[in-house]
Amino acid sequence: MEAPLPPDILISLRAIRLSRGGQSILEDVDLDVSRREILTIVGPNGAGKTSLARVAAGLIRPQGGSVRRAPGLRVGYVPQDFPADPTVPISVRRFLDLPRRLSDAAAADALDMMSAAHLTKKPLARLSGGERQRVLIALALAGKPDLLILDEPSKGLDPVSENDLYARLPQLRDRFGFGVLMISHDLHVVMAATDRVICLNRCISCQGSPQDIDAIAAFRNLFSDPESANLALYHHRPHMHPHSHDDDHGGETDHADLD
Amino acid sequence: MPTWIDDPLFLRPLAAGLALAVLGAPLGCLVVWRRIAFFGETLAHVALPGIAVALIAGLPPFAGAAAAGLITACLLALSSRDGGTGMDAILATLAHVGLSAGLIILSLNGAIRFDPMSLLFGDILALAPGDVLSTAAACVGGGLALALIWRRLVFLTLHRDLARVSGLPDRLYDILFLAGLAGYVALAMKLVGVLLVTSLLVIPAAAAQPFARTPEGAALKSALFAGGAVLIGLMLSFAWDWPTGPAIVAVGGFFFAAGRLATVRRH
Repeated sequence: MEAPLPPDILISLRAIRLSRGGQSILEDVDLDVSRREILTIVGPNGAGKTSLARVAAGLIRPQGGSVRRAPGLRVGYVPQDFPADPTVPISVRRFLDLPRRLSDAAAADALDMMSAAHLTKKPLARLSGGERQRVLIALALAGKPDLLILDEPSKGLDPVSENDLYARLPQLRDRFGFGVLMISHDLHVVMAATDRVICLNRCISCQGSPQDIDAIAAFRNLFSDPESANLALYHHRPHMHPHSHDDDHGGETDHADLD
Repeated sequence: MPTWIDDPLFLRPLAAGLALAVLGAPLGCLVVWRRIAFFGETLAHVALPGIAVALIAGLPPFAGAAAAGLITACLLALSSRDGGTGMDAILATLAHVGLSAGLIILSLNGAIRFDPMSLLFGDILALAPGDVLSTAAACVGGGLALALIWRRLVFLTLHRDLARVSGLPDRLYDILFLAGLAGYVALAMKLVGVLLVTSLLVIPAAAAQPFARTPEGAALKSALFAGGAVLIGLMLSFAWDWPTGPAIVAVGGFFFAAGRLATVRRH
Protein backbone atom coordinates (compact mmCIF):
# COMPACT_ATOMS: atom_id res chain seq x y z
CA MET A 1 0.00 0.00 0.00
CA GLU A 2 1.18 3.45 -0.85
CA ALA A 3 0.96 6.23 1.68
CA PRO A 4 -2.21 8.33 1.33
CA LEU A 5 -2.01 11.51 -0.69
CA PRO A 6 -1.17 14.63 1.27
CA PRO A 7 -4.44 16.47 1.90
CA ASP A 8 -3.60 19.42 -0.31
CA ILE A 9 -2.81 17.28 -3.38
CA LEU A 10 -5.69 16.78 -5.83
CA ILE A 11 -3.98 14.47 -8.26
CA SER A 12 -0.57 12.88 -8.33
CA LEU A 13 1.02 11.33 -11.41
CA ARG A 14 4.23 9.34 -10.98
CA ALA A 15 6.60 7.97 -13.62
CA ILE A 16 3.95 8.12 -16.33
CA ARG A 17 5.00 6.30 -19.44
CA LEU A 18 2.93 6.27 -22.60
CA SER A 19 3.63 5.16 -26.14
CA ARG A 20 1.52 4.54 -29.19
CA GLY A 21 2.44 2.53 -32.23
CA GLY A 22 5.96 1.97 -30.89
CA GLN A 23 6.51 5.69 -30.55
CA SER A 24 7.13 7.16 -27.14
CA ILE A 25 4.76 9.96 -26.16
CA LEU A 26 5.46 10.43 -22.45
CA GLU A 27 8.55 9.30 -20.58
CA ASP A 28 8.75 9.19 -16.82
CA VAL A 29 6.52 12.17 -16.15
CA ASP A 30 5.80 13.19 -12.56
CA LEU A 31 3.14 15.77 -11.85
CA ASP A 32 1.15 16.95 -8.84
CA VAL A 33 -1.66 19.48 -8.79
CA SER A 34 -2.47 21.06 -5.45
CA ARG A 35 -5.73 22.60 -4.33
CA ARG A 36 -6.15 26.19 -5.53
CA GLU A 37 -3.13 25.88 -7.78
CA ILE A 38 -3.07 26.83 -11.47
CA LEU A 39 -0.51 24.65 -13.21
CA THR A 40 0.23 25.19 -16.87
CA ILE A 41 1.92 22.78 -19.23
CA VAL A 42 3.73 24.27 -22.21
CA GLY A 43 5.67 22.52 -24.93
CA PRO A 44 6.06 22.20 -28.66
CA ASN A 45 3.81 20.29 -31.04
CA GLY A 46 3.87 16.56 -30.37
CA ALA A 47 5.30 17.04 -26.89
CA GLY A 48 2.53 14.92 -25.36
CA LYS A 49 0.65 17.77 -23.67
CA THR A 50 -2.80 16.63 -24.67
CA SER A 51 -1.95 13.01 -23.87
CA LEU A 52 -0.81 14.06 -20.40
CA ALA A 53 -4.06 15.96 -19.85
CA ARG A 54 -6.03 12.92 -20.99
CA VAL A 55 -4.08 10.66 -18.62
CA ALA A 56 -4.87 13.07 -15.77
CA ALA A 57 -8.55 13.13 -16.78
CA GLY A 58 -8.65 9.34 -16.73
CA LEU A 59 -9.31 9.06 -20.46
CA ILE A 60 -6.13 7.18 -21.27
CA ARG A 61 -4.54 4.50 -19.16
CA PRO A 62 -0.77 4.93 -19.23
CA GLN A 63 1.44 1.91 -19.89
CA GLY A 64 3.56 2.66 -16.87
CA GLY A 65 3.41 4.73 -13.72
CA SER A 66 0.60 5.58 -11.34
CA VAL A 67 -2.24 8.08 -11.26
CA ARG A 68 -3.63 8.80 -7.83
CA ARG A 69 -6.56 11.07 -7.13
CA ALA A 70 -7.85 12.59 -3.92
CA PRO A 71 -10.83 10.52 -2.72
CA GLY A 72 -14.07 11.62 -4.38
CA LEU A 73 -12.26 14.02 -6.70
CA ARG A 74 -14.61 15.72 -9.16
CA VAL A 75 -12.89 16.45 -12.44
CA GLY A 76 -14.05 19.01 -14.96
CA TYR A 77 -12.53 18.39 -18.36
CA VAL A 78 -12.53 20.89 -21.19
CA PRO A 79 -11.40 19.25 -24.43
CA GLN A 80 -10.13 21.26 -27.36
CA ASP A 81 -13.45 20.99 -29.19
CA PHE A 82 -16.10 18.60 -30.39
CA PRO A 83 -14.68 15.63 -32.30
CA ALA A 84 -16.91 16.44 -35.28
CA ASP A 85 -19.62 18.95 -35.97
CA PRO A 86 -22.34 18.09 -33.49
CA THR A 87 -25.14 16.26 -35.30
CA VAL A 88 -27.48 16.08 -32.33
CA PRO A 89 -30.10 18.84 -32.38
CA ILE A 90 -29.77 20.30 -28.90
CA SER A 91 -29.75 23.73 -27.33
CA VAL A 92 -26.95 24.97 -25.11
CA ARG A 93 -29.29 24.84 -22.13
CA ARG A 94 -30.15 21.18 -22.68
CA PHE A 95 -26.51 20.34 -23.37
CA LEU A 96 -25.67 21.55 -19.87
CA ASP A 97 -28.23 19.05 -18.54
CA LEU A 98 -26.52 16.02 -20.06
CA PRO A 99 -24.08 15.06 -17.25
CA ARG A 100 -26.73 15.78 -14.61
CA ARG A 101 -29.83 17.92 -14.57
CA LEU A 102 -29.19 21.51 -13.52
CA SER A 103 -31.64 24.01 -12.15
CA ASP A 104 -32.23 26.96 -14.47
CA ALA A 105 -30.44 29.17 -11.97
CA ALA A 106 -27.37 26.92 -11.87
CA ALA A 107 -27.25 26.73 -15.67
CA ALA A 108 -27.59 30.51 -16.02
CA ASP A 109 -24.89 30.98 -13.42
CA ALA A 110 -22.47 28.64 -15.20
CA LEU A 111 -23.02 30.35 -18.55
CA ASP A 112 -22.75 33.75 -16.93
CA MET A 113 -19.31 32.91 -15.57
CA MET A 114 -18.19 32.52 -19.19
CA SER A 115 -20.20 35.54 -20.44
CA ALA A 116 -22.28 33.09 -22.44
CA ALA A 117 -25.72 33.70 -20.92
CA HIS A 118 -27.02 34.95 -24.28
CA LEU A 119 -26.24 31.57 -25.88
CA THR A 120 -28.58 29.55 -23.72
CA LYS A 121 -31.28 28.95 -26.35
CA LYS A 122 -28.94 28.63 -29.30
CA PRO A 123 -28.54 25.22 -30.98
CA LEU A 124 -25.14 23.75 -30.20
CA ALA A 125 -24.44 23.13 -33.88
CA ARG A 126 -24.81 26.83 -34.68
CA LEU A 127 -22.16 28.06 -32.23
CA SER A 128 -18.88 29.44 -33.45
CA GLY A 129 -15.65 27.80 -32.27
CA GLY A 130 -15.16 30.43 -29.58
CA GLU A 131 -18.75 30.15 -28.38
CA ARG A 132 -18.44 26.36 -28.20
CA GLN A 133 -15.32 26.76 -26.09
CA ARG A 134 -17.15 29.01 -23.60
CA VAL A 135 -20.01 26.54 -23.39
CA LEU A 136 -17.63 23.64 -22.82
CA ILE A 137 -15.95 25.54 -19.97
CA ALA A 138 -19.36 26.48 -18.54
CA LEU A 139 -20.33 22.80 -18.60
CA ALA A 140 -17.18 21.89 -16.69
CA LEU A 141 -17.78 24.67 -14.13
CA ALA A 142 -21.40 23.59 -13.67
CA GLY A 143 -20.14 20.23 -12.38
CA LYS A 144 -18.49 22.03 -9.43
CA PRO A 145 -15.10 20.43 -10.08
CA ASP A 146 -12.29 20.09 -7.59
CA LEU A 147 -9.87 19.88 -10.50
CA LEU A 148 -10.37 21.63 -13.79
CA ILE A 149 -8.42 20.26 -16.73
CA LEU A 150 -8.27 22.67 -19.65
CA ASP A 151 -6.78 21.55 -22.95
CA GLU A 152 -5.89 24.67 -24.92
CA PRO A 153 -8.85 26.58 -23.54
CA SER A 154 -8.24 29.63 -25.70
CA LYS A 155 -8.47 27.70 -28.95
CA GLY A 156 -10.87 29.48 -31.26
CA LEU A 157 -11.10 32.55 -29.04
CA ASP A 158 -10.28 35.99 -30.39
CA PRO A 159 -7.51 37.89 -28.56
CA VAL A 160 -9.93 39.92 -26.46
CA SER A 161 -11.85 36.86 -25.27
CA GLU A 162 -8.58 35.04 -24.70
CA ASN A 163 -7.26 37.73 -22.39
CA ASP A 164 -10.64 37.83 -20.73
CA LEU A 165 -10.57 34.07 -20.10
CA TYR A 166 -7.15 34.14 -18.51
CA ALA A 167 -8.01 37.14 -16.38
CA ARG A 168 -11.11 35.30 -15.21
CA LEU A 169 -9.47 31.99 -14.41
CA PRO A 170 -7.68 33.08 -11.19
CA GLN A 171 -10.90 34.82 -10.07
CA LEU A 172 -12.91 31.65 -10.57
CA ARG A 173 -10.23 29.70 -8.76
CA ASP A 174 -10.44 32.11 -5.82
CA ARG A 175 -14.22 31.83 -5.80
CA PHE A 176 -14.51 28.05 -6.06
CA GLY A 177 -11.15 26.92 -4.74
CA PHE A 178 -10.50 24.37 -7.48
CA GLY A 179 -7.11 23.44 -8.86
CA VAL A 180 -6.38 23.89 -12.55
CA LEU A 181 -4.29 21.81 -14.90
CA MET A 182 -4.05 23.76 -18.10
CA ILE A 183 -2.39 23.23 -21.42
CA SER A 184 -1.45 26.33 -23.22
CA HIS A 185 0.04 27.26 -26.50
CA ASP A 186 1.34 30.67 -25.66
CA LEU A 187 3.63 32.12 -23.16
CA HIS A 188 2.01 35.40 -22.21
CA VAL A 189 -0.87 33.38 -20.85
CA VAL A 190 1.48 31.41 -18.67
CA MET A 191 2.87 34.60 -17.24
CA ALA A 192 -0.49 36.17 -16.52
CA ALA A 193 -2.64 33.45 -15.04
CA THR A 194 -0.54 30.62 -13.68
CA ASP A 195 1.17 29.76 -10.42
CA ARG A 196 3.50 27.13 -11.82
CA VAL A 197 4.73 26.06 -15.23
CA ILE A 198 5.86 22.69 -16.50
CA CYS A 199 7.78 22.53 -19.76
CA LEU A 200 7.03 19.24 -21.44
CA ASN A 201 8.72 17.62 -24.36
CA ARG A 202 7.85 13.94 -23.83
CA CYS A 203 9.56 14.27 -20.48
CA ILE A 204 9.57 17.23 -18.14
CA SER A 205 12.43 19.49 -19.07
CA CYS A 206 11.90 22.21 -16.53
CA GLN A 207 9.39 23.52 -14.04
CA GLY A 208 8.94 26.41 -11.67
CA SER A 209 7.22 29.73 -11.28
CA PRO A 210 6.55 31.58 -14.54
CA GLN A 211 9.29 34.01 -13.66
CA ASP A 212 11.79 31.21 -12.99
CA ILE A 213 10.94 29.47 -16.22
CA ASP A 214 11.37 32.68 -18.05
CA ALA A 215 14.95 32.84 -16.92
CA ILE A 216 15.86 29.22 -17.63
CA ALA A 217 17.63 28.54 -20.85
CA ALA A 218 16.15 25.07 -20.91
CA PHE A 219 12.85 26.59 -21.70
CA ARG A 220 14.20 28.06 -24.87
CA ASN A 221 16.03 24.82 -25.69
CA LEU A 222 12.69 23.09 -25.47
CA PHE A 223 11.92 24.42 -28.89
CA SER A 224 15.07 22.91 -30.25
CA ASP A 225 15.76 25.32 -33.00
CA PRO A 226 18.10 28.28 -33.07
CA GLU A 227 15.26 30.36 -34.41
CA SER A 228 13.41 29.89 -31.17
CA ALA A 229 15.43 32.76 -29.86
CA ASN A 230 12.55 34.64 -31.40
CA LEU A 231 10.68 33.56 -28.36
CA ALA A 232 12.39 36.25 -26.41
CA LEU A 233 11.03 38.71 -28.85
CA TYR A 234 7.51 38.67 -27.62
CA HIS A 235 8.45 37.40 -24.27
CA HIS A 236 9.96 40.75 -23.42
CA ARG A 237 6.90 42.52 -24.68
CA PRO A 238 4.26 40.72 -22.70
CA HIS A 239 1.39 42.98 -23.74
CA MET A 240 1.80 42.18 -27.36
CA HIS A 241 -0.35 39.38 -28.63
CA PRO A 242 1.88 36.51 -29.71
CA HIS A 243 0.21 35.99 -33.06
CA SER A 244 1.45 39.36 -34.22
CA HIS A 245 4.93 37.84 -34.38
CA ASP A 246 4.06 36.83 -37.92
CA ASP A 247 5.09 40.31 -38.94
CA ASP A 248 8.53 39.87 -37.44
CA HIS A 249 9.86 36.93 -39.31
CA GLY A 250 7.81 35.84 -42.23
CA GLY A 251 6.34 32.37 -42.33
CA GLU A 252 8.64 30.47 -39.96
CA THR A 253 6.60 31.01 -36.88
CA ASP A 254 5.93 27.49 -35.67
CA HIS A 255 8.71 27.43 -33.13
CA ALA A 256 7.68 30.60 -31.43
CA ASP A 257 4.07 29.58 -31.29
CA LEU A 258 4.66 27.27 -28.32
CA ASP A 259 1.99 24.90 -29.53
CA MET B 1 -63.93 2.65 -48.75
CA PRO B 2 -61.69 -0.11 -50.05
CA THR B 3 -62.67 -3.56 -48.83
CA TRP B 4 -59.26 -4.32 -47.27
CA ILE B 5 -59.27 -1.44 -44.82
CA ASP B 6 -60.70 -3.48 -41.93
CA ASP B 7 -59.23 -6.79 -43.06
CA PRO B 8 -56.95 -8.40 -40.47
CA LEU B 9 -54.52 -9.01 -43.32
CA PHE B 10 -54.12 -5.23 -43.50
CA LEU B 11 -54.54 -4.36 -39.83
CA ARG B 12 -52.06 -6.91 -38.49
CA PRO B 13 -49.01 -5.67 -40.42
CA LEU B 14 -50.18 -2.13 -39.76
CA ALA B 15 -50.14 -2.66 -36.01
CA ALA B 16 -46.76 -4.42 -36.07
CA GLY B 17 -45.36 -1.82 -38.46
CA LEU B 18 -46.49 1.11 -36.33
CA ALA B 19 -44.97 -0.44 -33.20
CA LEU B 20 -41.68 -0.95 -35.04
CA ALA B 21 -41.83 2.58 -36.44
CA VAL B 22 -42.19 4.11 -32.98
CA LEU B 23 -39.31 2.11 -31.47
CA GLY B 24 -37.15 2.61 -34.57
CA ALA B 25 -37.44 6.39 -34.39
CA PRO B 26 -35.20 7.10 -31.37
CA LEU B 27 -32.84 4.26 -32.34
CA GLY B 28 -32.64 5.66 -35.87
CA CYS B 29 -31.88 9.14 -34.56
CA LEU B 30 -28.94 7.77 -32.57
CA VAL B 31 -27.76 5.89 -35.66
CA VAL B 32 -27.92 9.06 -37.74
CA TRP B 33 -26.24 11.22 -35.06
CA ARG B 34 -23.45 8.69 -34.63
CA ARG B 35 -23.02 8.46 -38.39
CA ILE B 36 -23.25 4.67 -38.25
CA ALA B 37 -25.96 4.03 -40.83
CA PHE B 38 -23.74 1.44 -42.46
CA PHE B 39 -23.38 -0.31 -39.13
CA GLY B 40 -27.09 -1.07 -39.08
CA GLU B 41 -26.82 -2.34 -42.61
CA THR B 42 -24.11 -4.77 -41.53
CA LEU B 43 -26.12 -5.98 -38.55
CA ALA B 44 -29.02 -6.72 -40.90
CA HIS B 45 -26.89 -8.57 -43.43
CA VAL B 46 -25.15 -10.79 -40.89
CA ALA B 47 -28.58 -11.80 -39.61
CA LEU B 48 -29.06 -13.89 -42.73
CA PRO B 49 -26.55 -16.64 -41.84
CA GLY B 50 -28.03 -16.55 -38.33
CA ILE B 51 -31.47 -17.21 -39.74
CA ALA B 52 -30.14 -19.92 -42.04
CA VAL B 53 -28.49 -21.78 -39.18
CA ALA B 54 -31.59 -21.36 -37.00
CA LEU B 55 -33.78 -22.84 -39.74
CA ILE B 56 -31.50 -25.84 -40.13
CA ALA B 57 -31.37 -26.36 -36.37
CA GLY B 58 -35.12 -26.03 -36.11
CA LEU B 59 -34.99 -22.85 -34.01
CA PRO B 60 -37.11 -19.74 -34.54
CA PRO B 61 -35.51 -17.53 -37.23
CA PHE B 62 -35.76 -14.48 -34.97
CA ALA B 63 -33.43 -16.13 -32.43
CA GLY B 64 -30.83 -16.81 -35.13
CA ALA B 65 -31.01 -13.27 -36.45
CA ALA B 66 -30.77 -11.73 -33.00
CA ALA B 67 -27.86 -13.96 -31.97
CA ALA B 68 -25.87 -13.21 -35.12
CA GLY B 69 -26.52 -9.50 -34.68
CA LEU B 70 -25.57 -9.51 -31.00
CA ILE B 71 -22.31 -11.35 -31.62
CA THR B 72 -21.38 -8.97 -34.42
CA ALA B 73 -22.36 -5.91 -32.39
CA CYS B 74 -20.26 -6.99 -29.40
CA LEU B 75 -17.24 -7.80 -31.55
CA LEU B 76 -17.46 -4.46 -33.32
CA ALA B 77 -18.03 -2.51 -30.10
CA LEU B 78 -14.95 -4.04 -28.53
CA SER B 79 -12.74 -3.60 -31.58
CA SER B 80 -14.01 -0.22 -32.72
CA ARG B 81 -11.03 1.89 -31.79
CA ASP B 82 -7.95 -0.08 -32.69
CA GLY B 83 -7.03 1.84 -35.84
CA GLY B 84 -5.68 -0.03 -38.83
CA THR B 85 -8.27 -0.89 -41.46
CA GLY B 86 -11.01 1.71 -41.83
CA MET B 87 -14.32 0.89 -40.17
CA ASP B 88 -16.24 1.35 -43.40
CA ALA B 89 -14.19 -1.34 -45.12
CA ILE B 90 -14.67 -3.76 -42.20
CA LEU B 91 -18.41 -3.16 -42.17
CA ALA B 92 -18.77 -3.59 -45.92
CA THR B 93 -16.78 -6.81 -45.81
CA LEU B 94 -18.84 -8.24 -42.96
CA ALA B 95 -22.13 -7.23 -44.56
CA HIS B 96 -21.49 -8.85 -47.89
CA VAL B 97 -19.73 -11.91 -46.57
CA GLY B 98 -22.64 -12.35 -44.15
CA LEU B 99 -25.23 -12.06 -46.89
CA SER B 100 -23.36 -14.48 -49.12
CA ALA B 101 -22.74 -16.98 -46.32
CA GLY B 102 -26.44 -16.95 -45.49
CA LEU B 103 -27.46 -17.69 -49.06
CA ILE B 104 -24.85 -20.45 -49.37
CA ILE B 105 -25.94 -22.11 -46.13
CA LEU B 106 -29.57 -22.00 -47.25
CA SER B 107 -28.68 -23.54 -50.64
CA LEU B 108 -26.63 -26.34 -49.02
CA ASN B 109 -29.59 -27.61 -47.11
CA GLY B 110 -32.01 -28.72 -49.78
CA ALA B 111 -34.48 -30.02 -47.23
CA ILE B 112 -35.56 -26.53 -46.29
CA ARG B 113 -38.04 -24.92 -48.63
CA PHE B 114 -37.52 -21.25 -48.14
CA ASP B 115 -38.09 -18.30 -50.37
CA PRO B 116 -34.98 -16.13 -50.10
CA MET B 117 -37.01 -13.21 -51.42
CA SER B 118 -39.11 -13.17 -48.24
CA LEU B 119 -35.92 -12.94 -46.18
CA LEU B 120 -34.40 -10.24 -48.33
CA PHE B 121 -37.46 -8.03 -48.77
CA GLY B 122 -39.74 -9.03 -45.91
CA ASP B 123 -42.95 -10.97 -45.69
CA ILE B 124 -45.09 -8.73 -43.60
CA LEU B 125 -48.37 -10.08 -44.96
CA ALA B 126 -47.57 -13.50 -43.53
CA LEU B 127 -47.69 -12.18 -39.95
CA ALA B 128 -49.70 -14.32 -37.55
CA PRO B 129 -51.77 -12.68 -34.80
CA GLY B 130 -49.26 -13.96 -32.23
CA ASP B 131 -46.43 -12.30 -34.15
CA VAL B 132 -48.17 -8.94 -33.92
CA LEU B 133 -48.60 -9.28 -30.19
CA SER B 134 -45.01 -10.36 -29.54
CA THR B 135 -43.65 -7.61 -31.81
CA ALA B 136 -45.71 -4.98 -30.02
CA ALA B 137 -44.66 -6.30 -26.61
CA ALA B 138 -41.00 -6.31 -27.60
CA CYS B 139 -41.32 -2.75 -28.90
CA VAL B 140 -42.88 -1.52 -25.66
CA GLY B 141 -40.17 -3.23 -23.59
CA GLY B 142 -37.41 -1.93 -25.83
CA GLY B 143 -38.87 1.56 -25.79
CA LEU B 144 -38.99 1.65 -21.98
CA ALA B 145 -35.41 0.40 -21.72
CA LEU B 146 -34.27 2.98 -24.22
CA ALA B 147 -36.06 5.79 -22.39
CA LEU B 148 -34.15 4.88 -19.24
CA ILE B 149 -30.72 5.31 -20.83
CA TRP B 150 -31.66 7.88 -23.50
CA ARG B 151 -29.99 10.93 -21.90
CA ARG B 152 -26.76 9.00 -21.37
CA LEU B 153 -26.76 7.68 -24.93
CA VAL B 154 -27.28 11.22 -26.25
CA PHE B 155 -24.39 12.49 -24.12
CA LEU B 156 -22.12 9.70 -25.30
CA THR B 157 -23.13 10.37 -28.90
CA LEU B 158 -22.48 14.08 -28.57
CA HIS B 159 -19.12 13.92 -26.82
CA ARG B 160 -17.59 10.63 -25.77
CA ASP B 161 -14.72 12.14 -23.76
CA LEU B 162 -16.96 14.43 -21.74
CA ALA B 163 -19.31 11.57 -21.03
CA ARG B 164 -16.44 9.38 -19.88
CA VAL B 165 -14.97 12.05 -17.60
CA SER B 166 -18.42 12.48 -16.04
CA GLY B 167 -18.20 8.81 -15.06
CA LEU B 168 -20.22 7.13 -17.81
CA PRO B 169 -18.98 3.59 -18.64
CA ASP B 170 -18.93 4.12 -22.40
CA ARG B 171 -18.22 0.56 -23.50
CA LEU B 172 -21.17 -0.74 -21.50
CA TYR B 173 -23.55 1.78 -23.06
CA ASP B 174 -22.12 1.12 -26.52
CA ILE B 175 -22.87 -2.55 -26.12
CA LEU B 176 -26.36 -1.88 -24.72
CA PHE B 177 -27.13 0.37 -27.66
CA LEU B 178 -25.72 -1.97 -30.29
CA ALA B 179 -27.46 -4.95 -28.71
CA GLY B 180 -30.71 -3.02 -28.84
CA LEU B 181 -30.02 -2.20 -32.46
CA ALA B 182 -29.35 -5.87 -33.25
CA GLY B 183 -32.57 -6.86 -31.51
CA TYR B 184 -34.51 -4.24 -33.42
CA VAL B 185 -33.08 -5.35 -36.74
CA ALA B 186 -34.07 -8.96 -35.99
CA LEU B 187 -37.60 -7.82 -35.12
CA ALA B 188 -38.06 -5.51 -38.06
CA MET B 189 -36.75 -7.98 -40.60
CA LYS B 190 -40.21 -9.54 -40.99
CA LEU B 191 -41.56 -6.19 -42.04
CA VAL B 192 -39.12 -5.09 -44.70
CA GLY B 193 -36.50 -7.84 -44.96
CA VAL B 194 -32.74 -7.96 -44.56
CA LEU B 195 -31.98 -5.59 -47.39
CA LEU B 196 -34.35 -2.82 -46.38
CA VAL B 197 -34.37 -3.01 -42.59
CA THR B 198 -31.99 -0.12 -41.95
CA SER B 199 -34.08 2.11 -44.16
CA LEU B 200 -36.77 1.91 -41.48
CA LEU B 201 -34.25 3.28 -38.98
CA VAL B 202 -32.31 5.75 -41.06
CA ILE B 203 -34.75 7.33 -43.52
CA PRO B 204 -37.39 8.65 -41.06
CA ALA B 205 -34.66 9.86 -38.68
CA ALA B 206 -32.81 11.63 -41.48
CA ALA B 207 -36.07 13.15 -42.72
CA ALA B 208 -36.83 14.48 -39.23
CA GLN B 209 -33.48 16.15 -38.55
CA PRO B 210 -34.17 19.45 -40.36
CA PHE B 211 -37.27 19.99 -38.23
CA ALA B 212 -35.82 19.04 -34.86
CA ARG B 213 -34.59 21.37 -32.13
CA THR B 214 -34.23 18.84 -29.32
CA PRO B 215 -33.16 15.18 -29.27
CA GLU B 216 -36.65 14.14 -28.14
CA GLY B 217 -38.26 16.32 -30.78
CA ALA B 218 -36.15 14.57 -33.41
CA ALA B 219 -37.27 11.17 -32.11
CA LEU B 220 -40.92 12.22 -32.06
CA LYS B 221 -40.89 13.66 -35.57
CA SER B 222 -38.98 10.65 -36.80
CA ALA B 223 -41.70 8.42 -35.29
CA LEU B 224 -44.36 10.41 -37.15
CA PHE B 225 -42.51 10.03 -40.45
CA ALA B 226 -41.92 6.32 -39.86
CA GLY B 227 -45.53 5.71 -38.85
CA GLY B 228 -46.72 7.65 -41.88
CA ALA B 229 -44.47 5.65 -44.18
CA VAL B 230 -45.77 2.36 -42.75
CA LEU B 231 -49.40 3.43 -43.07
CA ILE B 232 -49.19 4.91 -46.56
CA GLY B 233 -46.81 2.21 -47.81
CA LEU B 234 -49.19 -0.53 -46.68
CA MET B 235 -52.14 1.23 -48.29
CA LEU B 236 -50.25 1.55 -51.57
CA SER B 237 -49.35 -2.10 -51.31
CA PHE B 238 -52.99 -3.12 -50.84
CA ALA B 239 -54.46 -0.68 -53.32
CA TRP B 240 -52.04 -1.20 -56.19
CA ASP B 241 -50.41 -4.47 -55.28
CA TRP B 242 -46.98 -2.94 -54.73
CA PRO B 243 -44.45 -5.08 -52.81
CA THR B 244 -44.99 -4.02 -49.19
CA GLY B 245 -41.45 -3.44 -47.90
CA PRO B 246 -40.35 -1.41 -50.91
CA ALA B 247 -43.60 0.61 -50.80
CA ILE B 248 -42.89 1.60 -47.17
CA VAL B 249 -39.32 2.55 -48.02
CA ALA B 250 -40.42 4.56 -51.06
CA VAL B 251 -42.84 6.63 -48.97
CA GLY B 252 -40.07 7.23 -46.41
CA GLY B 253 -37.84 8.38 -49.24
CA PHE B 254 -40.54 10.79 -50.35
CA PHE B 255 -40.70 12.28 -46.83
CA PHE B 256 -36.94 12.61 -46.77
CA ALA B 257 -36.87 14.46 -50.08
CA ALA B 258 -39.78 16.71 -49.07
CA GLY B 259 -38.02 17.61 -45.82
CA ARG B 260 -34.84 18.46 -47.68
CA LEU B 261 -36.71 20.66 -50.14
CA ALA B 262 -38.51 22.44 -47.31
CA THR B 263 -35.24 23.32 -45.58
CA VAL B 264 -33.54 24.38 -48.78
CA ARG B 265 -36.40 26.80 -49.40
CA ARG B 266 -36.16 28.15 -45.88
CA HIS B 267 -32.55 29.24 -46.31
